Amino acid sequence: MNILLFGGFLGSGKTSVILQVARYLTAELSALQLDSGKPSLVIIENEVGETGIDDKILKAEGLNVRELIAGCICCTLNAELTVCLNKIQEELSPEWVIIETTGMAFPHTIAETITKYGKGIDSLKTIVVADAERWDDLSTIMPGLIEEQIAQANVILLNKIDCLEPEQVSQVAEDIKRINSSGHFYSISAQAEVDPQIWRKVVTNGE
Amino acid sequence: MVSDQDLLKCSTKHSDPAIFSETYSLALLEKVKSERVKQALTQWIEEIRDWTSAKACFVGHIKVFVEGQENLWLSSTGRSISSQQSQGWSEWFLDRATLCVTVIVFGTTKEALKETVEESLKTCFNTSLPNMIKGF
Repeated sequence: MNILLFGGFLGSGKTSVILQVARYLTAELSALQLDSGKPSLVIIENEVGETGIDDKILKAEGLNVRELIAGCICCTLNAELTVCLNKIQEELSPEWVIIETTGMAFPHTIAETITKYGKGIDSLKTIVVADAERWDDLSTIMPGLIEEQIAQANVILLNKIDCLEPEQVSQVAEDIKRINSSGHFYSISAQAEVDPQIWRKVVTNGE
Repeated sequence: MVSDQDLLKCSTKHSDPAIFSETYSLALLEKVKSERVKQALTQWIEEIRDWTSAKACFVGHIKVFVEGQENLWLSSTGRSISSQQSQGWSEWFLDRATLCVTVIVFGTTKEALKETVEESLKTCFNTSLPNMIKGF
């Protein structure tokens, strides 16, 4: 299994990004597995609140979704995530698993757990979606959370760049690269269709 | 059972947001065009946004999903409202659907958020669809 672990603050656009990545994976990379009868992609959704919404959006697209609700997988549902992941590996052994964390979670904490206890994992990539539109507000109001989410990400997607002027986008990009200089960085607007070449780079190693 | 409030507090080590998360069965007295439901929900998001702004609160996110024969997804972070819908949404006439809402706001209490959200939801539906709501 190749795992894509998505993080990023509330409202940054994780679900919109995941919808596009899921479409890309389903169409471009997993055609060979379609005959097996098993899904080539499974999505694990972790949401705040009793009522799941993101899982319904993804299911409406025909995607295979497992929910972990009423808890956060970076703390209270840590063990449940590992159990869920290992069950998916045993029952379906999909080529890809996407995990959407809550907007308040620390993805690197989850990545550590998965690396330690997950079975059958071929690769694990942490992808953090940053909100360009609210970057200034979030950097001021909760800098610790935002920086910690971004600092150890393998990939950073600066989303909603359509809401800013190009020079403002450059400034935010600089701020982000100061926090994490080694991660692959892409500027996108998931409101519209993103160039599939970006998704190819995101899910591979940027080649 | 640990509440959502406690969970977020423990997971973030930061602020303590108020969370409202509810599922409603929306029942109307007769079939109406889906766009009228969208209009009511858009107005509702705008009212929540204005309320948070007036109270100097910070919106985590506001999300709405209408689930039925067709689907509608609205979301906002307190600025613009983004909207996505299934292909046949605009032509759909409905008299019932499931309505899922989640509102996360920093700087207010769970009780104040619940009161505002529920009151505003009723007002918006009664304004956009007067005498049409059979149940929530």
